[in-house]
Amino acid sequence: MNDETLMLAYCGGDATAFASLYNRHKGGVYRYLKRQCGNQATADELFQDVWMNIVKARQRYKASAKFTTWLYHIAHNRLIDYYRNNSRLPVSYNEELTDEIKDNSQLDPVSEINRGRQAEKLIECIRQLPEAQRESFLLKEESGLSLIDIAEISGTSRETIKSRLRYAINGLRRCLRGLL
Amino acid sequence: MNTEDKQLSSIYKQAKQEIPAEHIDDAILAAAKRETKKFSLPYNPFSNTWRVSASLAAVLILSFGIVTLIEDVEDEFTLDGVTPLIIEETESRQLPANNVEKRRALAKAPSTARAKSSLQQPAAKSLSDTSNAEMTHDLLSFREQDKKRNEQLARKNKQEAQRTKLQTESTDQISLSPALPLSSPSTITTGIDEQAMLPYWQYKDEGMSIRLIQRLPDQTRGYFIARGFSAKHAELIAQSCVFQTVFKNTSNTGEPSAIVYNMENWVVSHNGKSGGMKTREKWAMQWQELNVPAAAKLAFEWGLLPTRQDYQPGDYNWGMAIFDLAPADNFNLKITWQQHNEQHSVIIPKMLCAADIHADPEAP
Repeated sequence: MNDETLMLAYCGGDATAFASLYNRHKGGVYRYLKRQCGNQATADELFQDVWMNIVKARQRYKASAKFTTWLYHIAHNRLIDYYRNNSRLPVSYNEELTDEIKDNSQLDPVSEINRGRQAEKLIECIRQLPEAQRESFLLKEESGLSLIDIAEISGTSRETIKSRLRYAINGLRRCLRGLL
Repeated sequence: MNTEDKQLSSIYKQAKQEIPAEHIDDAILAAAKRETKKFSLPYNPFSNTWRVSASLAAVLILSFGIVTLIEDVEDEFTLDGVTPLIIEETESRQLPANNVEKRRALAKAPSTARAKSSLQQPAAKSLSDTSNAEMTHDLLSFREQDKKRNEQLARKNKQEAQRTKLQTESTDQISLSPALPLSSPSTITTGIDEQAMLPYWQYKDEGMSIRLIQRLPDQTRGYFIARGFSAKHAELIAQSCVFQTVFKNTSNTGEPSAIVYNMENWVVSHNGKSGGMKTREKWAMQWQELNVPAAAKLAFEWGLLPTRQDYQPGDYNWGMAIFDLAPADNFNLKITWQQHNEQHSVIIPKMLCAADIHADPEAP
């Protein structure tokens, strides 16, 4: 059963449909929030707010909208609220793209050869990305949404998302140099 | 380079697949289930849900009318040069019998003071300008009459809408008060408090928020022994399930309204039995019997969240709340408060007192 059908079933009072939806998407949304805000306690709070918003707003849900887009849109908005409330709206949401990420070409490839280390290093590299690039990358990986959907969530154009992703991938590759 | 990088995607998938904690899953799924009980009927435009929509529309139209009328009258005040201070004082004088109305009126004025206990509220000042006051009094009488008439109509329609809603609503584990506005986006959340690094439970809606954070018995022992309690007496508090509590009136960002609560009305349910909070007053009697030093009693009183308190929009306060339960006990907490001249309540389920664990110091 697809997400939209499950959501409609939940709107009709089927709590098990919500449980299926939740189990399907909880990991992606959680990692998106945690890797964006970088803090578990905040991620826990934002995560619960997001799902409670879904529960409260279920009657506004229209099957014409893709559920994942709606879900991640709420998560994105909640994250922006959090940044605003903490007076730290990331500047990189407003700028264009930079090459701030560290070049790790000096790393010793022998000592960091295994996949687990590669993955750990990748998470560290993601943390170093400018927020807007990081968000585009995480949305792409966690939600599997199209560029147009990601653009809609981020409130920008498809071309901008494309650029952000290119810069993100460049940055990550540079950060992982010697390990890839 | 394009926007797809299979190698990076594959490494990303190998990364730690973090998921939310189990208690968070439980809290969200339980909340979702409860909501289905409220509106379990599928949407049908020809069912009796049209009554809710019609009632809401009536409330909206009437509210718009009230706002327009109030704005018209308030414009007259501005033109007449009546200062907000005089309006506040006159309203206080006009409505001495209706305390809640008075608080609502006061809430509209800008608030600079922090929350004060109702016992500490200063008396209203006398008016210095008699002619201004009389003119204000006449205008306010007119405004009050008009406002009250419209408010009565709006309230009636709202109650009608609420009654219709309640026909399909179940009052299960967590029940929001029937008086809570229909559109209120209230949430109960739980997690680990960032500063204390201990579990918290939080309720918030458009007008208020309360966050209860566990306190370890060891923290409580240390705190009170350092403030003049004997180890034996500090133990009594440490073994009574203490939470650090932060209460806020957040209505300053929406529709401003003062909040009044009385902890004597809060209900603690544990193992099928209901009881009350162990308030300052109950402790004071115990300290009297145990001959606790005066300085320690004073420190204790200041450490606790007041039993009764008024909060103007934007006000907040914090202190310890004590539940008279044992360490590691589970309980549900029913909180009640007054805002917008209505009684509100919420039950926060499955709260947990901190266990009495003596952690070993970390190795150097």
